[in-house]
Amino acid sequence: MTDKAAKSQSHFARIFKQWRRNRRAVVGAIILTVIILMAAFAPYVTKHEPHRQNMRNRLQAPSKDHIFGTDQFGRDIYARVIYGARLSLQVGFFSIGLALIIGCTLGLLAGYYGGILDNVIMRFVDVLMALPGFLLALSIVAALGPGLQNVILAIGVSYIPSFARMMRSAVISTRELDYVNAAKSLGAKDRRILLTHILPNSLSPIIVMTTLSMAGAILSAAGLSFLGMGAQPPTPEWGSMIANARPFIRVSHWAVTIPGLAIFTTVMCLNLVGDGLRDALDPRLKNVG
Amino acid sequence: MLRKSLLVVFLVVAVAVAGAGAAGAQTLTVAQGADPVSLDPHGENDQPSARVRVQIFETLVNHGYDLEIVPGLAKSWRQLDEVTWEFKLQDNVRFHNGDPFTAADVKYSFERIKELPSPAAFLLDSVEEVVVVDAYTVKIVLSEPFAPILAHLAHPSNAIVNRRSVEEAGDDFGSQVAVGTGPFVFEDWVAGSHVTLIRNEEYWGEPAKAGRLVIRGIPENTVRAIELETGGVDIAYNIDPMDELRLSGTPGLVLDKYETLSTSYIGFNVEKAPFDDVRVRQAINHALDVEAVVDYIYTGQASPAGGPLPPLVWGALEMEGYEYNPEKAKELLAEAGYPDGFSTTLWTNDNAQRMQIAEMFQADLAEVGIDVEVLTVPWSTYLEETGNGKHDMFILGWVTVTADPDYGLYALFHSSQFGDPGNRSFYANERVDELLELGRLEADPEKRAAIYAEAQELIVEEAPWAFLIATMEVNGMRDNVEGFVAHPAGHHDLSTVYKK
Amino acid sequence: MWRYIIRRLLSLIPVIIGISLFVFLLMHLTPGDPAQLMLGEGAPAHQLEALRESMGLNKPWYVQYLNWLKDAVKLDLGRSLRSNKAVSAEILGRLPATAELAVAAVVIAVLIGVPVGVLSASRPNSMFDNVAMVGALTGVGMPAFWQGIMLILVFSVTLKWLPSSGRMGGWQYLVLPAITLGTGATASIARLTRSAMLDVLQQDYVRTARAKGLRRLFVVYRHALRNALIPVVTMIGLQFGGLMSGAVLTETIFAWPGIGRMLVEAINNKDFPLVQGTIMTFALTYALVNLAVDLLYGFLDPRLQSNYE
Repeated sequence: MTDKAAKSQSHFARIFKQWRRNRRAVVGAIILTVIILMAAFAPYVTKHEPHRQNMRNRLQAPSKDHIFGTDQFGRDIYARVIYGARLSLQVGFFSIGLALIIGCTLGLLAGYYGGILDNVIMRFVDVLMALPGFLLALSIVAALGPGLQNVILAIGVSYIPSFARMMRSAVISTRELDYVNAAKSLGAKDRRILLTHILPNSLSPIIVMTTLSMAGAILSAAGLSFLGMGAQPPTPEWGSMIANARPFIRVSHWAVTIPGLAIFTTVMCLNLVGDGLRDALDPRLKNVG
Repeated sequence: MLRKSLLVVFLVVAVAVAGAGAAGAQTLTVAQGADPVSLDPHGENDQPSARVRVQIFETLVNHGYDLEIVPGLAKSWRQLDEVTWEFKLQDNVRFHNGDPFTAADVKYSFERIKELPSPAAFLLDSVEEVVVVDAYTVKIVLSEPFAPILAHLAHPSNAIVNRRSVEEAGDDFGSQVAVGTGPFVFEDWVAGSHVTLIRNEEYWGEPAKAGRLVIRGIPENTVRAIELETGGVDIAYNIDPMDELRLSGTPGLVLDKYETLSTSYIGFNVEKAPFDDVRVRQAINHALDVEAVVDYIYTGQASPAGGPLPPLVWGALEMEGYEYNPEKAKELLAEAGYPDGFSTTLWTNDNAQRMQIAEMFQADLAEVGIDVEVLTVPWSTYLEETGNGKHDMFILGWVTVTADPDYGLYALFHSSQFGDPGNRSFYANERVDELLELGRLEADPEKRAAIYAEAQELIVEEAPWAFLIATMEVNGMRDNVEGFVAHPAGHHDLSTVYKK
Repeated sequence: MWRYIIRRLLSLIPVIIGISLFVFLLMHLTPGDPAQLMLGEGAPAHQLEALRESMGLNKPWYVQYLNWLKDAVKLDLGRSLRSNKAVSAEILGRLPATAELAVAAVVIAVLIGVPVGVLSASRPNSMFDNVAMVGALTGVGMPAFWQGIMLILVFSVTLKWLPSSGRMGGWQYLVLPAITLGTGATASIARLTRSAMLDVLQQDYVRTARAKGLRRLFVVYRHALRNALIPVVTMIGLQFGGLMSGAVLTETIFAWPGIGRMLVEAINNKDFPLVQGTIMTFALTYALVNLAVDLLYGFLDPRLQSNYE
C-alpha cells in the first residue's frame, strides 16, 4: 500500500467515524438501505403482483393477506409500494445523475477556462435559474407530455444550475492552489488537471448536494404526478399512487397514506444521510452537530 | 287577555316578516368543478361557463326539463315555409341595463355569433339571414331546410345579448360586464374563486327565489364534496362516484342522480381489417362486460347503452343492444375467419376513467382470444390522430348538446363527416346517409321519429361502434335546499331554488 | 447604492428575455393544436383554419416570438386563448391571492422557524433539539399535497374549525393553505437558523462574552442572533422559490384563486399566452425578491456595504 493510499484511507476513515457518531444519520442510512434492498429484491419480498387487479377485493383495510390493504382496483398496496420504490428511487437517481453529469461538466469548464466560455455557460445557467426548480420542471413536462421518462428529464434539467454553480465556485477556489499551478507548470494536460486535481477536491460538496437533491427530486416527481403531469397509471410511482387514490381517501385512506409515508420516509432518510455527510465533510462544523 | 293575544299576533307577524326578509336576502352557494372561462355567451363553449351564463342570459326557446322545446324570449313561433321561421317575441322584457329587448337584439346577437365567430357558431351554420319584421317579430331564414333548428336555438351559446352593453364594455364584456335578460343580474366575478349574482327584481317571468347566488369553482372533487358536507356550500355539482358512496346516507345531505346527454363508445376503424367485417364488430360488442364497467368504474353513475343515442335525446330508441356473451363472440369470430382471435390496439386518451375502461376491456377481449395493446395518447393530439384514422379501436365520448338526434348521429355516422368532423370510425352506409339527410329535412315529428328509429336500428346492427354507456351525474345538496331540478345538459336553472 | 440597484435591474433583462425564449420554445414543442382545443371536437375545418389565422398560429415560431416580445415590452402579454381576456389582466386579478398566501406562509415560517432554530442551537443535542430537528425534517419531507388533504380531513371535516377551500373573505380561509405552504419553509428556516447560530456561537467574541459570565440567553440574543440572521435572510429569499413552486400545489388543493392554480389550468388547456405570461410573472417576482434579499443582506451586514458603488 502506498503512502498516498494509506493517507486517503485514513482521511475517509476519519470522515466515516465522524459520520457514524451522528446517530440520526446512521438510522437514516440503515432505513434507506432496507428500502433499497426491498426494491431490488421486490419479487422475493412480496408474493403479490403490483398490477394484478381484483375488483371484488378493492379498498380493503390491512389484513393478513394484504398487510397494507388494497387500492381502488383491488391491487395489493404493499406490493405496489415496494415496486414503486424502484421507480421513485430511479427518478431520484437518474434525474440527479443527469444533473450531476451535465451540471458538473458545465461548472468545471466554466470555472477552469473562465472568459467567454464561462460567460456563455453561466448566462445559460442564469436563465435556467430564473425559475424556481419545480416550476422549471413543470414547464418542461408541460411541453414534453407526462410520463416517467419526461419527469426524469425535466427534474434533471431543473437541478443542473445548482450543480453547475457549485462546481464552478469549487473549481475557482482550487484553480489557483499551489499544487494545481505546479501541475500546470509541469505541463500537465487540462483534462488531467481537471480530473485528478480539481474534481476530487470538490467531492465533498458534490456528495452532500447529490444526496439532498435526490430527496428533492423524489418530492418534485410526486408533486408533478399529483398535478397529473407525472407518471401515468397504472405505474406504481408513489406520487402517482397518491394522486390516483385521492378520490378514495375518505372511504379507505390506506391507498393514500402508505405511499405518502413511503415518500416521506425515503426523503427524510436521504436528508438525514445528507446532513450527516455535510457535518462530517465540513470541518468547520465538525465538533458541533 | 286582549293584550296578550295582540302580543301573539304581533309576534307572529314579526316572525313572518323576518322570515320573509331572510328568504328574500337568501344567499345560495353552489360549487362546480372549475371557474367559468368567460361569461360572454358567445365566448368559450365550456360547461362551467354555461352553468353561470344560463342564470344571466336567455335564449329564444328553451329545452324544458323533459327536453321538449318550450318558449323563452320568443313566446310563439311558426314555420312560414321550408326555410323560414317566424318568432313572436315577449314584449315586456328589459335587459339588466334597462334597455328594452326587441327583435333588433336577436339580429345583432346572431350576427355577432357568426362574426366573432363564437366557438359554437357551427350551431347556426344553417342560418342564412335574420330579418327584423317589427319590434317584436323576427324571421330566421335558413340556407336549406333544417328540422332541428329550434333545438339549436335553445343551446345556451345562442343567447341574446344587448348591443349597447357589448359595445360599451368592449373587452370587458364577459369578464366585468354581463348584461342579459335572465332572472339573475351579474354582480361580481373574483377570478379563480367565485361569481356573485343577485336577483333581477324586474324579471319579466317568475322572479328568482334566492336573493343572491354565489357560484364557486372547486377543482378537487374530494374537497368539493367536503365543502358540501361541512356546509360551506349548499349545492355541489358532479359528486365523484367514490364521494357518492361515502356521502349517501349522511344526515343533512341529499344526493340527486340524473341522466345526461353524454355517451361513451369504442369506435372501430371500419376501413381496416379485421374491423371491415361486421361479424368481428358484433363479436366485440358481445365480448365486452359493460355492466362491470358501470359497477366498478362508474359505481353506478352510468347505464349500459344499447344504441348510439343517450336515452334522453329526442327520438332515442330504447334498445336492448348486445348482451355480454363471450361464447357468442367466439362463434362470430370463428365465422368471420378468426377462430383464434387476432392482435390489435385500443386507443385511449389520458383520462383516468377511460384508461381504466381500456384495462378492463383488455382483459375481456383476451377471454375471446383478441390480444389488445392499450395505447394512451395525450388529449391534445388524440382528436387529431383519431381524426386521421391511424387507430384500430378508440374510446371516446359525445355529448348531444342539442338533445336532438341529428346532433347525436349526423357528425358521427354520415359518410361526409369522415375523420375530424366526427366520423372517426369511417363508417359509410348509403341508407344511413340517406336517413340522416332526411331527418334534417323532415318537419313532421312523427315521420322524423320513424326516420331516426330506422337509422338507429341500422347502426346498432352494423355496429361501427361498441356501444358502452350513457353517463349519469350526481349533484349533492344540503337537505334544506328546495326546488332544484337537474337539467340533463348540466346547466341547471337556479332561479327556482331556495333554502327552507 | 442606487447605481448598484440599477445595474442589477439591468442585468435582469437578458435573463428575463432568455427565460421567455426558453418557455416560448417549450410551448411550441408541445403537441396539439390550440385552435382545435379551443373549438373542441365537431368544429368544422373552415372555422379551425380561420381561427388559426386570426391567432397568428400559421406564422413561423420566431415571428410569433418577436411579435410577443414587442408587445411584452409594452406590458401587453397577449390574450388568453380560452377567455380572450388580456393575460396581464388575468394575472393581476389572481396575483393578490398568491401574494397574500405567500406572505402568510413566510410569516408563519419566520415566526416559528427562527425561534425553534435558536432554541435548538442554544441547547444542541438536547431533547428539544432532537425533537425539533426531526420535526423539521418531517416538514421538509412531507409532500405538500398529502399534508393539505390531511389538514382538511382533521381541521375541516373532523373538528369543523376551518373552511376546507376557497378564499371567500376572512382570515379563516387563509389558515390551512398558509400552513401547508409554509411548512417546508418553516422547517428549512429552523434548520438553517440552528446551524447558523451554532456557527456564530463558536466565534471568539461570543465565547468571550460567555466567559465574562454574561447570561446565556442574553449572549444568544444580543450577539449571536443578529449575525446568524444574515444567512437566514438569504434563506428566506431562496425559500421564496420553493414557496412559488408550493403555491402551484397548495392552490390546486385548496381552490385558492392564485396564479399557481391558474398556471396548472393554463397548461392543461394549452393556453400558451397565459402559460407564458404566468411563468414570466413567476420569473420576474423571483428575480425581484432575490434582489431585495441581496439589498437587505447588505443592510444587515455592514461589511458588505463597501461592495456598493
